[in-house]
Amino acid sequence: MKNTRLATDTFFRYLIRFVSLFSVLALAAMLLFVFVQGAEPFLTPTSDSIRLVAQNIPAITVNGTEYVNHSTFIPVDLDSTELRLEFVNRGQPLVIPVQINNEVEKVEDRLSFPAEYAGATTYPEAYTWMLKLPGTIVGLEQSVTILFPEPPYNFFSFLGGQAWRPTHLKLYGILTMIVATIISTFGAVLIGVPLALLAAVLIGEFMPRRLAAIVRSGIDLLAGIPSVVYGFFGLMIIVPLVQRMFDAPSGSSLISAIFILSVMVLPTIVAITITSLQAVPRSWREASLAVGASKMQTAWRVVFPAARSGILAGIILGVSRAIGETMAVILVAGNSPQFPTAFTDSVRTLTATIALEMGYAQGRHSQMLFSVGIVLFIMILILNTIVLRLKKHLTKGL
Amino acid sequence: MATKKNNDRLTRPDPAASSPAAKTAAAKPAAATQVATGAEAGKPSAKQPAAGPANPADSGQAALSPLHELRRLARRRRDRKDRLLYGLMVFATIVIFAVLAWILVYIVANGIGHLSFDFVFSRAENSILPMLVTTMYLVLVSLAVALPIGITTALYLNEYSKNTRGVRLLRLAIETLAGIPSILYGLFGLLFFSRIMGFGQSIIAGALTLSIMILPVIIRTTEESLKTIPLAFREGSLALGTTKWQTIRKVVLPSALPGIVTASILAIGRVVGEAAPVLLTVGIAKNLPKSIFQSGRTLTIHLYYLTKEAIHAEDFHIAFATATILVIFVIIVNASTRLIASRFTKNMEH
Repeated sequence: MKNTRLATDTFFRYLIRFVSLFSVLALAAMLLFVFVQGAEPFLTPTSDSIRLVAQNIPAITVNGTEYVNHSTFIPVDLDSTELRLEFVNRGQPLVIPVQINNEVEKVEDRLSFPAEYAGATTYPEAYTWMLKLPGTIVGLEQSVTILFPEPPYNFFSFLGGQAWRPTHLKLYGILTMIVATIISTFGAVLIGVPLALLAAVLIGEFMPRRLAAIVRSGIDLLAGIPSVVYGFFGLMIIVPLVQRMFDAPSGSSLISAIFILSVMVLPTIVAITITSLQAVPRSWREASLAVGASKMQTAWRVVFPAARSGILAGIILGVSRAIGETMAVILVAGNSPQFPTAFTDSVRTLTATIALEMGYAQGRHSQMLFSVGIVLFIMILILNTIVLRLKKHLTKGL
Repeated sequence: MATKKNNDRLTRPDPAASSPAAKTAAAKPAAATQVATGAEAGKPSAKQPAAGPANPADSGQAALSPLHELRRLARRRRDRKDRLLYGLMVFATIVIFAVLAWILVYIVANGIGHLSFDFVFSRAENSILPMLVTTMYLVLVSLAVALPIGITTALYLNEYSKNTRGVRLLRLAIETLAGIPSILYGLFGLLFFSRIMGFGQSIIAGALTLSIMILPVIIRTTEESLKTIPLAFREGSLALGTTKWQTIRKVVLPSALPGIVTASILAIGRVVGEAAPVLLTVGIAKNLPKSIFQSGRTLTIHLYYLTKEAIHAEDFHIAFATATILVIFVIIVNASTRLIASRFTKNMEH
């Protein structure tokens, strides 16, 4: 009897310890998977071979190998200098030799088709050529699509590139989004922080307890409103307001995003500021009042500086909330990947890009969205580290 | 400059003139010394002992009066500054609450008229029943996964752990998880649960993703409630010869129940309100989900799509009504956590 009791105790001790590891595992898995997926575009080309897609061509011979009713990619060795396409077009057997020159700087000129087919070839997307020939009946055109592998993307043209054209030009520059994220966050902090700090000192230091509790539940309510609802409100009220106020062509703009974000960072900053103000010992306030300082002087010159590391932690948490906010920003910011030159310009943030394009992104484009996630991850981890340092400082200081 | 003015006023003999003089003096230096207001409160009092003996001829009453006046002056200047700051603080608080009220009133006032029993529960074309069901599935599955893990972790942190390196790592992991934006959870969930584990875009993939996201909330809230349980409860139980596990099961967990309920409600609030990771992992299928392995559309995603694609007035009506349901839900969540918290602290005090 006693033995089973002790055995149960030991069993649960180990079980609890084991299950507790889950959070660490989950975090490690998140970091690992997102980083591995996001790092891939910078390390490997999109495929190991040139790939061909033949449409409405029952049998095609590529460099001597015949493919009959082939419905997937036809792989061709990357080192080939010539693509010799043989197939039957409207009853006539054709032989089309395509020269490959990998030395050429401009990707579009790397393939050269015979002169008589120049009119039939197009370059619809970067790294993609298309040869289109009329078929036996209209609508059944024969086509050969040649897909070159994209080489590993340069990390610096990812971070510093200004053009985000993922589908046609295969350009993945995110500088405009980084700038938009930073400006909108900064603007939100600039408006939100003074409001939040003034209100927090009033609630934490001057309000009677009962009133403070009611006011704080209002602040909690502000924190609980779903971001889509903020976005909805922004789109219905703020966007038309901005349009009218600035006489802009569209109200979906940087300033609308800043306004919505500044409301959304308020509850975080207010709540953490109040908590850190309350952590300042009562004796400090009493000492200050005893030497003749007013309540206001005590609050702003004694209590506030004493709580500064906690307050800073709150502000930084507000910043990470603004950086990570997605849905509200999508609805009000307009989402054009461009540098804002005015407050009424449409902008697109890092988070918006992920949420907007993940639905249809394929291949490298999809991986690039994970790379955007890594950039976001690193920003947040840096901010988190600062917060943790500040919290340590806070507990040590008091 | 300020000190010179103060001396001038100190040598003024007529006590009767004190009141108008104080007024003009208070008005003048206010402009001149606004920059130096920080030093203002300290300076005159330091000057007093020197100023006092400088006029031995003054009567006792006259000597006391300028001093008195000086203090009052300093205090008045300070009071004015205090009042200004106080006004600013009240203004900031009012602005915040005005925005809150604006959002709530605007949405509820426009949406409440379009709420009806048919809109919420019928299987009519515009009904939000499928979204409600999807959201409910999502809540149930994510809580079923996250609650046991979260409570166990909180128990470990509060009842078993010592301050070792491993525990510090665990706390660091939880803090970091709490700070990660939800869209990154969405990316991970899409990659791991939808693609690698093969759930595709489905409620289960979304629920598993969200269960990691709400874990920090559950751990923190449960741990807070565990901390408030007096040590005497545990000691009393252990003194009766129980094992640690028996104490936890029969004493600690029942006492922490309100905290666990609060944690669950907060977690439900987050799951219902979340949109970005749900968009990536659960998808947007509008029909009634038959099982948790199918895609679905939650209330928030419904509102998102209605807002983005609304053309007809009817779409806006549905959007307002959906937003109203979300807002009412948030208010209920907030009210109930507050209610439980106040009940809980009352019970603990007895």
